[in-house]
Amino acid sequence: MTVRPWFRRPPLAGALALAVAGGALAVAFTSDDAPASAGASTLTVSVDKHGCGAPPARLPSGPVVFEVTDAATTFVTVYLTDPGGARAYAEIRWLGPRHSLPLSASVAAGRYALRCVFSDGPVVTSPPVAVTGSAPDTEPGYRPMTSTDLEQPVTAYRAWVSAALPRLLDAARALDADVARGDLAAARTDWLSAHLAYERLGAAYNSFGDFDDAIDGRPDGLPGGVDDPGWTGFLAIEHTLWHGSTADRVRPLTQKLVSDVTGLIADFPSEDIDSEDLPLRAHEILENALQFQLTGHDDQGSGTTLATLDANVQGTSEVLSLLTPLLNERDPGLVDHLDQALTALRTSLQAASAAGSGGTGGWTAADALDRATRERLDGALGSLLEQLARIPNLLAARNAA
Amino acid sequence: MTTSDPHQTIGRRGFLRNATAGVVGVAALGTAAADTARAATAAAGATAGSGRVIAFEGPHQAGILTPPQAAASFVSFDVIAPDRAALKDLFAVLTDRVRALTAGAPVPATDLASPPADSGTLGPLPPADGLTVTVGVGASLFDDHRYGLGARRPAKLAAMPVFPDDDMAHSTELHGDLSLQLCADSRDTVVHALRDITRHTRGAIQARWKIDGTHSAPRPSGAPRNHLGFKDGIANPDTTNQAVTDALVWTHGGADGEPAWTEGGSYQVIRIIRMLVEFWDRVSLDEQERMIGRRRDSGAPLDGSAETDLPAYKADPQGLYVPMNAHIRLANPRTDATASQQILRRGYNYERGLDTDGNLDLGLVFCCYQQDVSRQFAAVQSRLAGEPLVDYISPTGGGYFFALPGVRNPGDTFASGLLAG
Repeated sequence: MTVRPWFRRPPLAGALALAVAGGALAVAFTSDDAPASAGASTLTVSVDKHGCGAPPARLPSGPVVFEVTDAATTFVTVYLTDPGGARAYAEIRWLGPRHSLPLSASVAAGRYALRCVFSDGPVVTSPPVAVTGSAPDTEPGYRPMTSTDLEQPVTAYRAWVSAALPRLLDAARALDADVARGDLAAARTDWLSAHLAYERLGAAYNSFGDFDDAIDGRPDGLPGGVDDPGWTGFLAIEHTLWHGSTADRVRPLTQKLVSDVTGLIADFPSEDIDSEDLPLRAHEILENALQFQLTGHDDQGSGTTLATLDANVQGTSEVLSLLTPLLNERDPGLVDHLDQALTALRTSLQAASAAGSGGTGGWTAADALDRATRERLDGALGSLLEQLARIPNLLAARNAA
Repeated sequence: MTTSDPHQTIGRRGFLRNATAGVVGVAALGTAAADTARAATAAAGATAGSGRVIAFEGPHQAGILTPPQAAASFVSFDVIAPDRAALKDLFAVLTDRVRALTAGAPVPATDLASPPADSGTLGPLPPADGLTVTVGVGASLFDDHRYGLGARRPAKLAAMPVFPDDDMAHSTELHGDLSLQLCADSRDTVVHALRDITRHTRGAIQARWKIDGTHSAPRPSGAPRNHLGFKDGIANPDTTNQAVTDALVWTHGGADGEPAWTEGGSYQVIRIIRMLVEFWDRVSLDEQERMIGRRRDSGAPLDGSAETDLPAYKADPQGLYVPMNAHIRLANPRTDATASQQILRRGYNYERGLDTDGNLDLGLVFCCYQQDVSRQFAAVQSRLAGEPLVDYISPTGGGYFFALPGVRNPGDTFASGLLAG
């Protein structure tokens, strides 16, 4: 392993917790220079379409809690922003009429405002709040992102998948042709190439709708398990190829695969891709890989789940590269660090396989990893996931924040 | 911290990006957090769970002399930190987390860009709840090719040997680079702490094995009972007497070949000892009592009438009251020659599912602390070899560790002496 561990820093901002406690801990400031840990004032704010509350004109730095009530008749999203909207510090994602929720933050010296984005359109901003003094562990805020910011990456993702799908079809056809002429040894080789072509697309979380179940479904949720007649796709084919099936029993599955990939290609241009899916995928492709591949859970006999994991890492890298400009604007250095960790993980995966006995495609089966190698891979993937988990929140759409 | 990459030194929570670099800075901030936590707990008044705060700092770690709390987990980890600097980072993070958790740290606000900073399983104001987290290191951490610590290995620290009556051949619960003994007044507090620590140390340590224990209530009084129905832990050294603990529990730098940094540490032995309770329950009470050497109901030695009575072996040289091979007599013959072999036991009962025959997997997480593992635990263990009780118990895992000296002050960290220079 060349990657250094990456630690979550401990929650040093103990003071912030008082803000979380909200109304339960309404400890008033005694003076501007009171330590932040002395407590957060809870400020009652009522918002409607004429104004996003009337916060105090001046506040000391440190924890603050606004208890926000929606006095309007529609839902509202409430932000603590700077008056220009260049940064958001805290948010209430969804507040209903006549309901109240706390908006908590720890603020540094500067100018702030509350901004209300009502579900029926109006956006109103409170008068500015001047924060003075200094406090530990204040929040730097983030540049809010709008949903239109994700349009370009989603378009690029579509183009990337569209370009890759014909190659997947070619690979599926090669597999089917092997089986058609009864060459199961070639089929086992070509199965791996085709499966990895699919897994590189980062097909986690049913990104291809029902096609994903047909193309790469697991037997786990089927009444008959691995014997279920409705089980199709790469894993079903793997199961037959590595459990002594004859070519004539494999063939219907490979034909179905070709037909499903063809269907996906026809369908894909009209499939909606929710723009928020892309940041989610950057994190969750590898959550799935930890759960199903590194454990060996998905192994149907070929012993190539580490190859699948490697393909998933490549898929994650691709998604990450599309999001890089947005991430760099909001968290400089994050992408570089993730890139290093992803590369290191691939290196470790390949090293783990090189050290193994050389199974299908040269990959070591997950259940054949020695303890030390498994621990290093678990640790590398686990720490990577802790960092990737940041992306969906960082790139959540905060329109008009 | 020793690196310049902010992502290696500063966490995901963006508001911490400007946090001071340097271990001292980290520790100082950690202390501020702990102070804040105490203030907050006081301000909030009693929260759910016991408000009991067991002091974190001191010359020795908490959780050794501390009377056993109700719930425990013993977890062994392997260290996967790639180098010595990362190892140092690991101990700094462990220090911060244990300091905050044992103080009952309130949950920080969630940063706009992050998942929740805390699992939330103890609510927004986690109580201290009598939590202690005791950190030990295993012999394998000192292997020469790893972190260059070979010359600093505690003199008596080795991998736990296999003893003649052990059942370790297929064990997956042996040894480890690092041990955590987590104890608290409630089970959920133990789990919360473990989950927090593993999350913060992901990529630096990887859990290897884990066993959970509970400390039974006295039935009806005195020492708690184990799954054999007998009172356990009656004859422990007096932990309130510093002369006793200095002689039996704590290691002393410079003495007995110990490196200077070990001052105030203690050797920790963890043994997972399954008890074959179905078999045991088919044995007559008389035979059970003669194997143990005590009355089952009262806990009294067989030559006495109360749990607190001391067995008078000199008056019973032929074992007419307490058989010569009774467990308590072999374990602690109460002679001048064996006085220095006494161990401080701090075990917990465990229960975890069934074996292939449908028998209950019940037993003891034996844990003991001592100044010298060879002079004490190993000597006792060799005397116990072949005792009649071995037919009813099956040691299946565990390890030898060295519980680090305490974190002495706000600027100190776990293993600061070990890693100095």
